[in-house]
Amino acid sequence: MVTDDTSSLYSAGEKQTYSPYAQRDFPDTPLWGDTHLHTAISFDAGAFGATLLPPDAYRFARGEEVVSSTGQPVRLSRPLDFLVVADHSDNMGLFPELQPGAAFVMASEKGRRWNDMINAGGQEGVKAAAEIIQDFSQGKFPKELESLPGTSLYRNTWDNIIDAAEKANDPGHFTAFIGYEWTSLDKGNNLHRVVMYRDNADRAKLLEPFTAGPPGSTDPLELWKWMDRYEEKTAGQVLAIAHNGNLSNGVMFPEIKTFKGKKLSKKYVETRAKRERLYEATQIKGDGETHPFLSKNDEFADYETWDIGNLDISELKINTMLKGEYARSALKIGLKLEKKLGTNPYKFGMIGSTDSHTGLATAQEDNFFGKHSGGEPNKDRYLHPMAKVAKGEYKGYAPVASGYAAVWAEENTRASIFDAMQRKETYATTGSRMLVRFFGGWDCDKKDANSRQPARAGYAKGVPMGADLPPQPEGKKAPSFLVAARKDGIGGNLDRIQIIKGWMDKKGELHEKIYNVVWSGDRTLNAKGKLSAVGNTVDVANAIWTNTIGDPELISVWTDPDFDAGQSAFYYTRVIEIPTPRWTAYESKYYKITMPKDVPMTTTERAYTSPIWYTPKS
Amino acid sequence: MDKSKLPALLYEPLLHFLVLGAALFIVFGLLNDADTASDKRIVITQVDLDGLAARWLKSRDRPPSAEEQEQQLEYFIRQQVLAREAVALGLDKDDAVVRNRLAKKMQYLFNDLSFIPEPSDGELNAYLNQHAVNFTEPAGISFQQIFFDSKLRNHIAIKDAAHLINQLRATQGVIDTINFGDRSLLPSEFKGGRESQVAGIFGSVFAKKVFLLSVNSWQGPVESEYGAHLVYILARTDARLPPLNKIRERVTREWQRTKQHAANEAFYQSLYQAYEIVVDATVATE
Repeated sequence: MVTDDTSSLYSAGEKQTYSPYAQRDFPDTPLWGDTHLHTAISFDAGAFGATLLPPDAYRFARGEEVVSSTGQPVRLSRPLDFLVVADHSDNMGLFPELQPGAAFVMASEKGRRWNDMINAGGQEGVKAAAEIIQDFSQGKFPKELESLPGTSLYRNTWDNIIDAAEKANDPGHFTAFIGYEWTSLDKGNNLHRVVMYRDNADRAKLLEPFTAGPPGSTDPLELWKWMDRYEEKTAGQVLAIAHNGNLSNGVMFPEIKTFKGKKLSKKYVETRAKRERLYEATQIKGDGETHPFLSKNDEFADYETWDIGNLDISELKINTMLKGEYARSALKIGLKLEKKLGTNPYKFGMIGSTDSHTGLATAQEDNFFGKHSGGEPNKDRYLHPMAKVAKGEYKGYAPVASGYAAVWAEENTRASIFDAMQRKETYATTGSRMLVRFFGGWDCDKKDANSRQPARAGYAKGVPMGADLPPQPEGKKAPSFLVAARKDGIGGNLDRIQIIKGWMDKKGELHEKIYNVVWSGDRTLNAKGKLSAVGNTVDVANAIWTNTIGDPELISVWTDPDFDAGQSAFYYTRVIEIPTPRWTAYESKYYKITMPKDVPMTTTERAYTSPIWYTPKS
Repeated sequence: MDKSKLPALLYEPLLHFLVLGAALFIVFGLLNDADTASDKRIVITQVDLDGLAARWLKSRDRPPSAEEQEQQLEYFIRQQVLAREAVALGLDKDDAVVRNRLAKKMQYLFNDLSFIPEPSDGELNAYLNQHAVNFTEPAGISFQQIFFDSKLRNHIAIKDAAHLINQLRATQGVIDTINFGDRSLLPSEFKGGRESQVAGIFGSVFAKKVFLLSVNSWQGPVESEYGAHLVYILARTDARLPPLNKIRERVTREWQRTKQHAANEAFYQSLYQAYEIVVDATVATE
C-alpha cells in the first residue's frame, strides 16, 4: 500500500472491510427509465400519426437509432435502462382497424368521419385524435366502435404487446416491462393510472387489462379490485401510478369525498396506500409538484404549469380545485387523512415519465420529439395547439420536455426495479439525469457529508428516500438528513438543493416550508432563509449555456431546526439546475424561426425525491 | 401468404412486372366493365354480401345484426352512388387527398405483389459488411479513477494528481482507490459502458479522452469539468461488428427494408420512364 501524501482534504476511508467494495449491497448509480410511453397501438396516438410500435419503442429506449413516424432519424443521447410501454387499455386494437376502414368502422358515422380525417393525415389526423379524446373524455365514445376485452381483436393486440416486451427484455442490461394505461376520465377530469407488471408473459397473459369504459369502470376502487383479482389468479404483482392530477380539476387527491360523491372510507385509504406507492409528478402535460397558488412562498413553484382546466378543457380551473391536484399538497392532505382514518393514502414516492404518444421516450430539451406525432420537430409545431376548444387551448409550445424516473435498484431486472419502486426508492426528474441521494436518520452528522461513500453512511445511519424515519431515540432532539446531488454529465451545473418539509400542527392545520440546504457560489441566506438567484448564462439565439455558474456537485447534512416530535411530517429533496435552453430555443435555432415573446426559452431542470416520513409515537 | 414457400422464379423482377401488369389489367378491366355496362346500375352480388359479413366477423367476433347488415349495405351503396357521380363530374381530379390515396394504393398493390425472399446467409453477410457502420457496436470501457477536486485544490489539482501517479505506478498489487484523492459522487469504478454513458456521468470532454488511454497502468491526469482524474483502464473493447448470428434478426429486417425500397424505386422508375414531363410556363396563375 502507498500512502496518500497529497493529503486528501477530506477524512480518508472509513471502510469496514479491506475491500471497500465488499459488503456493499447498494448501487452506485440509479437506473433510468420511462414508465409511461405510448405507441401507435394507442387509439389516439395512431390518429395523431404515430407509426412506431412497441418493438421500435424498446429499441429506441435501448439507445438504437430509429426513424420517427414523421421520417426523422432520432437517437437518445444515451440509453435508458428500462421502459414500460403503456398503451391505453381502452380500445386496444381499434386503431389498426380504424385507419384502413374495417367494415364496422365504415358502418358508423363517427367511424367514417375519423377514417377520412386520419387518412387525410397531418393536422386533419391531429383533429381526429382530438375529437376521439374528447368523445372518450365525456363518455360519448361511439359504442359501435369500441374494442372490448374478451374479443379476439383485443386479445391479439394484448398478446402482441406482451410478446414485444418479452423479446426486448434483457435482464442485466435492459428491462422491458409489461404494462398498460387505465384511462379513466370522469366528465373530462383526468384520473389516469399506468399499471405495470413485475411479471413475465406467462402470468400477464392470464388476464386482459382493465378498461375505464365497459366492461371496466372509471372508479379507481374498481381498478384496485382488478389488481387484486390479477394477483389472486396469477400469484403475480402489479402496481398503479397515477398522473396529471393537474388535469383532474381537483379529483385526483380527494380529501373528503371521491369523485363519485362517496365519503372517503377506511377501505379507500388503505387500498390506495397499498396500490399506489408512486406518483408521476412531472411529464409532458405539465409539472405536478406544486402550484404557485398553493405554495405562494416558493419562487420555483411556477414551473411548466398547466392550469387552464381539465384534460379536454370542458371545465375551466378554479383555485379551490388545486389542492386536490398537486403532489406536495396531496402529501400534506395525507397526513390529515392518516390521523382521521388511520392510513395515509397519499404516502407516495416520486417519479417522472414522458407520456409521449410517439413511441419515443424523449425528455431532453435538445432532442424533444413532442407529445404526439403531429408535434414532432417541425418549424410550425409551436403554432399548432395541442388542444383547442371554445373555453381555451393548450398551446403548441406548452408541452414540457419531461420527465424520467430514477430508481435505486440493485439490478437491472423486472423484479429488482419493481421492488425498488414498491419501497419508493425513486426520484423524478424533468429530463435531466442528475444523481440524487437522500437519507434521513437520527445519527447523521456533518462529517458524513465528507465521506468518500456518502451512501454507505446514509444506509448505515438512516433510511433512504421513500422510507419512514425510525422512532425517535432517547436523547435525540431532531432528525438530520444527508443530501447529495451530482449534475447530469452532459447537463447544466446545480444551483441548489432544497429540503421541502410538510407537516400537520396540533390543531390539524397543514403547513409547508422550503429550506435551502446547500447551494453553489458565495451566496448567503437572507433573514427569511431565501437565496438570491444563481444567474443565467443562456444565450437563447444560439441555444447554448456555460457551466461557469453553479456547482457540479452539492452535498450536505441538514438538521431540522423546527422539529416538533408531536407533529407528523414529511421531507423531500428538490434539486434545481442552473438555467439552460428550453426545447423551444433549440427549435428556434434549428429552424431559424422567431417565436412570439410569450414563449418561454429557458428552463431550470429539477429533481424531486420521494419523501421520508416522520410519524409521532402514538 | 407465406412468401418463403414460393418458388425462386417468382423473385425475378421481370416477373413482378408481368404479374403486376396482369393484375392491374384484371382489376381495371373489372371496374371498366361495371362502369360501361350501365352507369346507373349497381349490382350487389352474394360475393359482396359475404365479403361484408366476413370482414365484420373478423373484427368484431360476431356476425353483424340484421340492422347492422342493412346499415353496412346502405353505406356501401351510398358510397358507390356518390363516388360514381363524383368521378363523372371530375371531382377526383386535382384533389390531393384522392391523388394521395390512389398513389398509396398503387404502392400497396406493388408491395403486395413484390416478393422479397428470405435472404441467404451470404446475402446477409454481404449486407452486414456493406453497412457495417449501422451495425457496429460502439467501443466500451471499464476503469477506476481517482479524483482531484479543482474547486477544493484550485489550480493545483492537476499537480497533486501528477504527484500521486508516480507513486501509484511504482506500486505493485491492489490499490484501494477509495483512499486517494477527494470525496466525490463520481463512481470510483465504472463498469462496461460506451462513450455516451461515460459522458452522462463524467462529461463529454473526459469521455473522449478516456478512450485514448493505455490499458493496465495508471494514466493521467485527465481533466474534466469536475477536476483532474487519474485513470486505470481495466478493460477496453474496440468498436466491433458483431457476427451475423448475434444480430441476424436486425440485419434481416434492414436487408428486407432496403430490398423493398429498391424494388419500389425500380417499379416507380419503370412507370416514370413512360411519361414525358413538360414544364409549360405559359400556363400560369393570374
